[in-house]
Amino acid sequence: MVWHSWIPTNLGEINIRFFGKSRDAEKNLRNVEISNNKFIAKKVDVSFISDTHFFLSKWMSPLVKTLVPAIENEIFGTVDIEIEERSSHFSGEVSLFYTEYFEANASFILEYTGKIKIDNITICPEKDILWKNFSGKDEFLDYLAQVIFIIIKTIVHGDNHHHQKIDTAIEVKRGEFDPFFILETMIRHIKRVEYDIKNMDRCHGRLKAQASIEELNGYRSYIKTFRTLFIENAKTAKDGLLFAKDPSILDNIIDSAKASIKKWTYATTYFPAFISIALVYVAISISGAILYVSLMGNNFKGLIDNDWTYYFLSLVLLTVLMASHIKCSILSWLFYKQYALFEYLYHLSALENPKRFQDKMIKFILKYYKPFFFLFVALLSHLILKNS
Amino acid sequence: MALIDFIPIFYLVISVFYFISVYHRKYSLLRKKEAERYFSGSVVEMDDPGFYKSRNYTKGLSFAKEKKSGEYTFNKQAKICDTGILY
Repeated sequence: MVWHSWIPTNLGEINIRFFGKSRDAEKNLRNVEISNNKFIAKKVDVSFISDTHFFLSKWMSPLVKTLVPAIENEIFGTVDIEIEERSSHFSGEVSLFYTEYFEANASFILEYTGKIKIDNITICPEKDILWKNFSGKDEFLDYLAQVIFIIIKTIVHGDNHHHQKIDTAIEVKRGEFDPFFILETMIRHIKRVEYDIKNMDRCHGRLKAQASIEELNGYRSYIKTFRTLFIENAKTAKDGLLFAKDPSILDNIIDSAKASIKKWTYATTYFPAFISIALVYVAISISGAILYVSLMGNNFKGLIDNDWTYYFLSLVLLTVLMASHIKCSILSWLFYKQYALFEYLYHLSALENPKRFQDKMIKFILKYYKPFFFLFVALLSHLILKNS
Repeated sequence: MALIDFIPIFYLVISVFYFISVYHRKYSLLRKKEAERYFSGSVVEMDDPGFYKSRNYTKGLSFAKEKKSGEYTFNKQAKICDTGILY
C-alpha cells in the first residue's frame, strides 16, 4: 500500500538546507546530524501529534495542566528520521516509537517538487486492540500515514507561517498521486477558513481574524505554485474544479473574507469611538472646572460641593471607559498567545454542569464578572459620595 | 437630590441589566456538545465531521492505557483548528 501527498514549497523545489529549520522542527530536534546529502535526527519529540496538550506555552503550562483535562496514562511518541538526497529525489526512513509499547516504520520518497510517496508502513505489535477505536486496520493505517506525513512535513517544510499541526489543508490519499485531489482539499480549506473568519467572535477574534487573512495569503501562494507544478501541465481537466481553469477564484474568496473583517471592524469601532469621545469630553470638562475653580480661588458652593468627589467620580468613569476599551485587545492577545488557556475558558463557559471544584468556580467568575464589576463600581461611587 | 447622586444608581442599573442578560444566556447545542467532549478527557473523537459543517479540525492521534482493559490503544482525535493563532 502506498500513500501520496504534497509538501508545500513556494520555491517549487525542496532544498535540504531548509530541513529542520522551521520553528516547529527546531524546538523538537535534539540529536541531529546534517551533512551535504544526509539529514539524520534521532528521538525527535512528536508529542504535538496528540491533541491532548495543544500549543502549551512553557510559562503557562503549570497553570494550564491543572485546568485542562488530560488523558490518564498517555504516552507521547518520538521519531527517528533519516533522509538522503539522491540525484533525482530524496529518500528516507521514518520510525515512530511509543516507548516499548508500539513501533511503526515507513519509507518515503520525496521528489524535488514536494510530491511525496509513503510506503511500506509496518507496525509492531500487530494487535487488534490497538485500532479498536478505528473502523479497521486500513483506517488506522490511513490515519498513521497522515500523522507520518505531518511529522515529515514539520521537518522538511522550511516555511513557517503557522503551526504544521493545524495545517489541515493537505490530506494524504491512498493510491496514485492525484493533483486534483490535493488542489481540491487546499481550496476547500481556504473556503472553511473564510467561513470561520465570518463567524469569529468580534471581540477576542480581532487579532486572530487579521492573522487568518495573512495565512490565507500564504495558502494562495502555495496553491499558485502547486498549480504551476502539477495542474497547468496536466493533460486532463476535471469538471467542477474552477480554480484549475481560473486562478482568480481564490482571490475572490480571500477578498470576501477581507470584506467581512473590514465590515465588522467599522461596526465595532464606530459606536464606541462616539461614546468615548463624548465621555472623555465630559471627564475633561469636570477636571477643567476643578482646575479652574482651584486656580481662581473661587468657591462655587452651589455648583460644586466637593472638588475631590468630582475628581474621584471622573476617575471611576475613565477607568470603566478604559476597561471597556482594552477588554477586547487583552482578550485578542490572550487568544493569540495563550491558546490552550483560552480554549479551556471557551469550552468551560458552554459546559452545563462542571464536575471539578475549580471548574465550577472559574465558570461562575466567567459568567458573572461583568455584573459584579459594575456592582463594584456602583459601590465605589456610593462610598465616594458618602465620604464627600 | 443632586444629579451626581444618581451615578451609583446608574452603575447599579447596568449591573442588573448585565446580570439578567448573562443569567439567561444560552449556548448552541453544538457548543455544549463540544464542551462536554472537551471535558471528557480531551479525547475528542471525530464521530460525525459533517455535524460541524465548515469548522476546521485537526487530526490528532493519542496513545493511552485504557482504564477498563489496561491495554494501550490509539485514539482518533479531532479538535477545532483555529487558524491565525500564534503558537
